[in-house]
Amino acid sequence: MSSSRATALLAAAGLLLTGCSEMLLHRSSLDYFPLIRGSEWKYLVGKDTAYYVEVLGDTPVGNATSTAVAVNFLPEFWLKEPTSISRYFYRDTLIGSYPDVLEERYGLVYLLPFVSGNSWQDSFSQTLYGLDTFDYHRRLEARVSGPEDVPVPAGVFHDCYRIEFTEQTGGSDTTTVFSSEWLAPGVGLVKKVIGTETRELADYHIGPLTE
Amino acid sequence: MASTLLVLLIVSGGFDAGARISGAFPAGGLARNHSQTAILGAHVGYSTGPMRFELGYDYVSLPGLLGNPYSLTVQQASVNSGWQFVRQPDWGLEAVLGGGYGIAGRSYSRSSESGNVGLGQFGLNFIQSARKGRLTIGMLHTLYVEARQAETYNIALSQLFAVRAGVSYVF
Repeated sequence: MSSSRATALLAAAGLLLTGCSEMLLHRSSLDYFPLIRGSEWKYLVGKDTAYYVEVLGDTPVGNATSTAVAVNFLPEFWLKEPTSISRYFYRDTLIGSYPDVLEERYGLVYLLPFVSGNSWQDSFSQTLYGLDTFDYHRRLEARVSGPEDVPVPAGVFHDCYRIEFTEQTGGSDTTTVFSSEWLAPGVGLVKKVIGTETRELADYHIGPLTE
Repeated sequence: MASTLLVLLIVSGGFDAGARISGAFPAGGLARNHSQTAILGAHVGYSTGPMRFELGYDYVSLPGLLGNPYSLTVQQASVNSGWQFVRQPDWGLEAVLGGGYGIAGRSYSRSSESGNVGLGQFGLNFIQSARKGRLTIGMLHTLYVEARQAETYNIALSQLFAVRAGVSYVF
């Protein structure tokens, strides 16, 4: 067999073998939560309500340099590391007539990379002492499923992972919130269901718009 | 009869078999979640003139970053053809081209996903030959090819760069 025939045979075999694959290495290579300055996302809730998300840039918050993200013009601070993504949580309350900080820290939100079936938790608790004792706790549980294709107004996104969150927050009473997020590679959040509300990606661009 | 033929082939042809080890470095997007690793493999080859054909098996296990319990594994079989473009009595330089098939898996703690992947390889080897031995040191670039039929036909490529050393016993 000549070398050209052998090479052609190998190339043909390779194409046949890749005819359908699960895109596993592809998913291992992509960024599911791009925090690139200038990126913008627009989400629709029904037909009339819109959410706008914009990456503003890096800023020092707490003991780390996080990325400031405006969600409907309100700032959130995200810390993206190679194996996790955390959000800066700041919550306070009035104990008697004085404000007191309940929580001020980076709490784990996503554990990277996403693998279907993986799960994680993040817990925080604190007791504040004053005239009354105040117990605060917050617990976030997350579980990954997928990958799946997600059709939204901005298009059909492939290889999306679904993250199901259960967040319990409270003191003497506990509030539980269930939510689901679908994250697409290279795009980020494309759909979110929280309670009866569904937010779907309508428009986006990653990185600053070029003239 | 078959065993006689096999013996005749081994005696008359340039068969060899051996093992190899590589230091592999994920390139491009794979570097986002993986660090470098060692690849272990085995091969059988047949040489005729400047040409060599090789069947190989390699086990790739790419660990996650910062020691997290994540890994990406590929068990891959490949067919390569090599052309020795510099041939000296006891050494040479060989260009390698080939392809193959792999079974890939990702795991994080007790969660896992699996899939299959096609692959193409090209590389360059320095070869030193002794009487019954063949030493190979070279560079190999593996291009993993994945495809999907959606609204359009999508092809995704992932890359792994390896520095490889192998030893073979020549029959």
